[in-house]
Amino acid sequence: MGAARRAGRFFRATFFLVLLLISSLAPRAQDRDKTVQELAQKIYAATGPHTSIALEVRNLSPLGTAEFARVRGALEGELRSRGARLAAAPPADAEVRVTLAENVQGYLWVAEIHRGDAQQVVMVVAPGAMPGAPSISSPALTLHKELVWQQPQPILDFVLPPLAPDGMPLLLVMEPERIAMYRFTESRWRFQQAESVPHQNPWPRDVRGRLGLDREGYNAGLPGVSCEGVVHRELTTECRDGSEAEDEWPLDAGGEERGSAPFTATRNYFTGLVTTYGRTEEKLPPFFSAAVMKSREVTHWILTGLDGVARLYEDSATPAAVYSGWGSEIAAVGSGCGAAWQVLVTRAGDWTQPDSVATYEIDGGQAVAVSQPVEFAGPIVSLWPATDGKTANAVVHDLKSGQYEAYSLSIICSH
Amino acid sequence: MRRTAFRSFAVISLAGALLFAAASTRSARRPRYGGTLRVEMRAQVNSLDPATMATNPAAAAAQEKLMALVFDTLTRLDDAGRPQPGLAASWSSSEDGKTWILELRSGVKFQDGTALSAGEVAPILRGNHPNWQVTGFTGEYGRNRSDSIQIVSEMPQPNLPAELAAARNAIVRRGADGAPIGTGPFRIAEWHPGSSAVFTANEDSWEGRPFIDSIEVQMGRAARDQLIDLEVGRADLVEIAPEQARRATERGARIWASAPVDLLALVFTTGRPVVEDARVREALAHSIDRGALANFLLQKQGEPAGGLLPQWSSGYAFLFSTAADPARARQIVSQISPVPPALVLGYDSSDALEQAVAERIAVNAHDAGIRVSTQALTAAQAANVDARVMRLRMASPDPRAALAEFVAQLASSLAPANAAPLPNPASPEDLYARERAVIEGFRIVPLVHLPEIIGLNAQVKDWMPLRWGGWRLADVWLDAPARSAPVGNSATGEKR
Repeated sequence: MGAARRAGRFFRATFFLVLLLISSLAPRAQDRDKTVQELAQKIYAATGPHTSIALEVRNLSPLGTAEFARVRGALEGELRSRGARLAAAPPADAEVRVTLAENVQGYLWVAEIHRGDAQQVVMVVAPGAMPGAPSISSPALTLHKELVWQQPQPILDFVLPPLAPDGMPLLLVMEPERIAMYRFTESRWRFQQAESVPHQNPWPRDVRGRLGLDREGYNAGLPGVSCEGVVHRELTTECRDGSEAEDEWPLDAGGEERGSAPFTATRNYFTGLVTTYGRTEEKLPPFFSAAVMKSREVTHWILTGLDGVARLYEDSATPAAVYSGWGSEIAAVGSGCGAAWQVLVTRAGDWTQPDSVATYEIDGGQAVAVSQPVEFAGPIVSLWPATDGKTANAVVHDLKSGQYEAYSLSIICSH
Repeated sequence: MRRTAFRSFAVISLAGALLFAAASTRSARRPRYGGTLRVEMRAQVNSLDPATMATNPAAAAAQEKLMALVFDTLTRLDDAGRPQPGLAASWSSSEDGKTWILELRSGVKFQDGTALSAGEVAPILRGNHPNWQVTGFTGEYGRNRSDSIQIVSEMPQPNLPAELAAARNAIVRRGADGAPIGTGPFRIAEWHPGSSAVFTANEDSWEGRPFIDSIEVQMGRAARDQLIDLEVGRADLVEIAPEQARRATERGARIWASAPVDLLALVFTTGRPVVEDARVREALAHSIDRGALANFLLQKQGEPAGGLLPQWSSGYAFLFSTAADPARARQIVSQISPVPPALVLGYDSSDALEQAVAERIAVNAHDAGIRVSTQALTAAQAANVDARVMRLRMASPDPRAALAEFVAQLASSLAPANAAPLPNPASPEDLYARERAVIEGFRIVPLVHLPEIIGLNAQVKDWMPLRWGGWRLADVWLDAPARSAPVGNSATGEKR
């Protein structure tokens, strides 16, 4: 049942992705065709009618080989359609060298036109670079990533609530200043509504947030601010600005809340005070993120400290094991594969570098890698267990495109 | 030649990336708070007041970097030179571009606690731009307050949002003693003009408190001393001279290079009899081997420049030839009678790179049959030489804004038509035409475009400057210094 649902989610996400790519690429191709026409018209105006042209086209831009060939072919076609005769090589009435270049604002296509002793330069501004197609890892990989959403504005967290009353999927995206709801209709996510998140004090520079779902609707935590709302046909939100107060954020294991910890109102970490349900409070070192795993006897906690060290706690405030070389974002998922629990771990470094997520299982305190790392084109700025407890939600800041990308990470059992 | 230059930059970038990767394996990824960043720079900044911007390009660039710590502007330029919201959250204009409305960001406070308001901002803009009609509006809607600024000008201002991003338009409130007060991420804790400064984190910064607690800045440090301080751990962020970058990398320094933002150019002095003969200027221009300047003198840390703007900004720099033509130079010289007297070529006495370039030009000129002597200059002596090597800094990544600034700085050497304001807006063809016109008279001879090169301590994290050199130190954080390995193994953990 679980595997069938995962497969369904995979194919649904792939379908969404293909549709998004098609819808985003088509207008850009049209824009580029217009630019080719504009450049051809300028060249034609400079060379005059019924002219033989020796055309040279070169590429000094990041345009790919296939796209370059397409542009070149389109330009030759446009010139011919205007009556120009293209010569294979000089001599010709005019020699035209076209350079596909780029400047700080996008592509710039330049034509140097030599006719006798006269030289003229014409230019057109072309549409910007094609966005790199998000990669989908092979289904054979153990750790699988699915692109759910991307946008230029920062994303703090996201959730996929239950279907809307009309049966269509919903998506909630938390940004620093608002919570936005999208509905999947007509083959794409469409913005439906946003609720602002009021706050009296400035957010910390590295503002973090957490979205969760409950029976009534959703809950959201930001530094010093907590919100609750209902997701139905409309999104309703009510926020409480505690200003300097440190709100408790839930710590989940397998989709169940196993405890909570206060999050600092003016910084980017948990204070270290951890309340374990059914147990007493523990004062641990401040931490960035937690992986919580429960077994019959005991709940295991791995907390990534501000000192770059991750610590495993079992039944006391004394760490049972420590792990170095990990990134600050971790999350536990109860996939049901292997040892039942896996810890997803980001790579150490900083936000100037691409990132990856590796999968570990904890065996007697030892962290054992159980999958190949999955690579991302930028740092993972947020990683939380999803509400189903079996997957995790990651937000990546793509260093090339500048987009914030929301991924769902899931473990697929090896065969 | 150009491809070679591109390749060398690619190699440097790759090397830089590898060094970054190697240096970062100890840290976590999410920013940590705390620590003091120690910065050294060559320039001596005498004031942080936007009302007294330095005239020397290097000092002005350094001043802008320090000003950005303390002051904000209404807009900011992104990596592509496009204006983005700053203290203004949004803006709109009339169709003719003569009237602009800017909505101010709410919840922003100056560092003395005064709220940012239309009443504060409007007089600042009026003072900076007396030809603008600036009006502030404040609206109260229940508990919400809205502040906006209207700017009206006689001429269309299609680039007004970009203009407002300039450091000279920083939003500065004056204290009772006239001292400038900003809204930026750091406060001035200590200020010793031209010597040193200390900045501390502004806890109430509207963008969130910076990660580092303070920044200590040492000014007037020689390039060599800066590199030594970086290597022995006395500094975290230093400027590295382009000609030293290769050696610094070989010695294990972690370096970062911006896109080429400085232009070294040969500028002839108007009215000097020796160079009023255009043939002399043309011959000298043809004699210069820019490839040698970039490859040997600058150790491949620069690009030969045929135009004023670098390729990454304009997109058409390849249209300007950078090749030397000594045969053509000799041919021109042979036609000049009587033989011209020796030219005096000046350079900034405090700039070793300018001196080296000037001496190289003298050698090239000699090979072409032109006699050139070099002379170290102070600022006051500039008019007493026939030509000088000048370093110009791009004021903006936007090609129109950058070219406009170059034209303004070079105006005294240009024909009036070429010194006139650029069209606004200007197409790439407009910009190319002006550059071509400026260069054709051989009064300005572009030589090389140079990047800004920074050396960084391994503990400096999230160094994410703008490609054209904006430092963004508020986003930087400092990793814990190297220490012995913690309990447990490095990758798999260990049971205690």
